[in-house]
Amino acid sequence: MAKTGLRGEAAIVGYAELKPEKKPTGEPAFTIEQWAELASLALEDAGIDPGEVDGIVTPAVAESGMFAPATVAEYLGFEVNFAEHVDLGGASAAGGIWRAAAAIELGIADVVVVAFPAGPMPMPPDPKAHPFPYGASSGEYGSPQAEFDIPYGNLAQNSGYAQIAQLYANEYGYDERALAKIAVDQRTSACANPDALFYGKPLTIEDVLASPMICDPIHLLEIVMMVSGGAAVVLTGKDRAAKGAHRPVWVKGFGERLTFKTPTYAQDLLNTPIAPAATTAFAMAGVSHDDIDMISVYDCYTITVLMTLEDAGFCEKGQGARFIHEHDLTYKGDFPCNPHGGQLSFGQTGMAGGLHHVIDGTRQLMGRAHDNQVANCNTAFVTGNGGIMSEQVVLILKGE
Amino acid sequence: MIQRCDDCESWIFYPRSRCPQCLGDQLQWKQIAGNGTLYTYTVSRRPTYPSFAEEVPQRLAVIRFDEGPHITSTLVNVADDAIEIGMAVEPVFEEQPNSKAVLLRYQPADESRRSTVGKETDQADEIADSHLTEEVLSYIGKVGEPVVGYPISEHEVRRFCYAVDQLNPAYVDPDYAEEGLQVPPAFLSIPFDTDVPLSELSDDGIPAVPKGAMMPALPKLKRRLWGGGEVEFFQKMHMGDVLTKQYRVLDIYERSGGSGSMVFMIMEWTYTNQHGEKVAVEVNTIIAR
Ligand SMILES: [Zn+2]
Repeated sequence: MAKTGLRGEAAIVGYAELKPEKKPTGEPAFTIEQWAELASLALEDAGIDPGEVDGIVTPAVAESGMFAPATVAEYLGFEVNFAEHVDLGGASAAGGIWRAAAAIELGIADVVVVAFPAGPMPMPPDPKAHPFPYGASSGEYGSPQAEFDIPYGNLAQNSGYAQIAQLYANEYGYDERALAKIAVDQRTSACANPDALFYGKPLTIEDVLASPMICDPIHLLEIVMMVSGGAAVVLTGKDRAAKGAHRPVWVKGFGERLTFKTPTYAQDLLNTPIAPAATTAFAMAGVSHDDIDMISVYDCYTITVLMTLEDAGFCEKGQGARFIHEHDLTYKGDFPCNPHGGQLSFGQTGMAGGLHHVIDGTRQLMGRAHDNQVANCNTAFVTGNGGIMSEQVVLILKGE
Repeated sequence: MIQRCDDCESWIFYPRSRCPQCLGDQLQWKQIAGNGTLYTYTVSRRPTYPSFAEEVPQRLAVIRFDEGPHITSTLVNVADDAIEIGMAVEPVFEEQPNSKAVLLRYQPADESRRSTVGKETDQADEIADSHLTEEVLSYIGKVGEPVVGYPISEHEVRRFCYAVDQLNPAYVDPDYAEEGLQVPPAFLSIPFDTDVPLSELSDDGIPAVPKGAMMPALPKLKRRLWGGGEVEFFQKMHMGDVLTKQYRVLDIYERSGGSGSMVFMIMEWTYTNQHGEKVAVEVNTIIAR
């Protein structure tokens, strides 16, 4: 098969992560101020001068409903050849990484900063309504969801994922202990990561199953907790990366796929867009599943992890529960999954949550994970997941 | 009525301007029976949004029309353990009491699967021990006497802001902006006297009926719960404004829950300023149980 896509000649060379906090201790700051702070930390980590930045990738910024990249570039004093605003929900960060790598390989940009602020912001003197009162659903005039979904209460994340889990249960059976084990193994890893929200708080399968049922069959402890934080990474090309402070982490392959927004309108909810995205990414990177040393998969819910394991081809369809029981998913196990603790135990820092998965893989491949370091870690599989399993991005990263 | 594409013969839901299969624009409206099967569902134990609090547990469903397309709905007339993915379902049209909208709910097509749990309950059984007597229902639509507040002053606003730890300079620092101090939206209900002597407070410390309001007596239901509220603002408040609020009962209805039946009272306060302009409308839910 002819190889398409990335050549694997752009690398992540530095990153910054703010510690997730349930009750923020820092002063509230505007998104652009947080952007500047995160960019500065990540560039410092990479050992690259801010004057060399010529590309940015940003999510929406609260201070400007439009022109997000220009707002950021002006505030930070960047003159860029590549200015990207990615709007893929939880897949935005992973989507931003491959776009940055592509821009570098095309020779458009040499140093790209990808930053996702998620800290507290000052209250405006004249508070407006929340810009996204319905989460991923839109109540705007003319929105199909406003007319056909929201009136029935079909608007939150929990219920959509629960509908997928129910459908899975009906088709393949549902082993709730296997699902709970995902949260438990990730908690074990979080207990070796002092930055994780739930550091020092071990968890058992019984704890998960005893937590309140929120949306059948999903329990409270299978759902992420939204916290504040923020993250950034710096990417650059071959020559610069070789001179960097850390082992470069090459973006070898990616896949991106989305076909729907509201799960109601997915014709087959059990075959998620993860499958085609993963197939593309593996082929592009020229690696097989056996080459993967660790995975960092978007874990807004435990069911998301199970569906990812199956649809990305780590196990047969319907065999996810058995796979989870047969493998140790902790950082020291035979199939490390989310060694930073996952968003379930590290904390979901809003839109930055997806970037923590990228950094989770990067940190392991750079060999900078200290107490939760995966042994002999050279190839990582990372996902971003937006909406209700509707927007999928897969990355294959390699440290060498 | 759903759409069908003349070009590729696919059925389409929700309505589009062009066919999502072939982008053809020859779309015809066709009458369909609305029958289908349950594609998937969940029972949400927490409201998916505050306004759905009364519907909990929400039986959120995806229905597959017999023609193929999927549609969002909720299941009614069915107990949780009788719900089965793949079961045949049929439409139940439900008119919304507060708007002209009709929602399309679904119930099992197989009558033996139906039960009175869920929204469309068997009315005859309930009326026997309903709290909703004619006397109680007569309160729906009642309008209270207007209640005039006292002028909004900088002093009061500042004290309020300090009390709730809202130290935004736009509210408390007179030198912050040229146009003077702003009034925070949350101040809306503050500049009114409660005018209830201690002796008239009920056991839980809440005035039995606030001034200007009226509520039916529900002798069997001792406890009152705050069921949430929403405020819509139409314009800003200004220093010196004198607000008038007027009460109206929007709806009273009954729901049965695990701990017996509860009465929901939906009440509205409309706030106007001294120029007769509408400032805000507050809609509150009080639950008696
Ligand atoms: Zn067509």
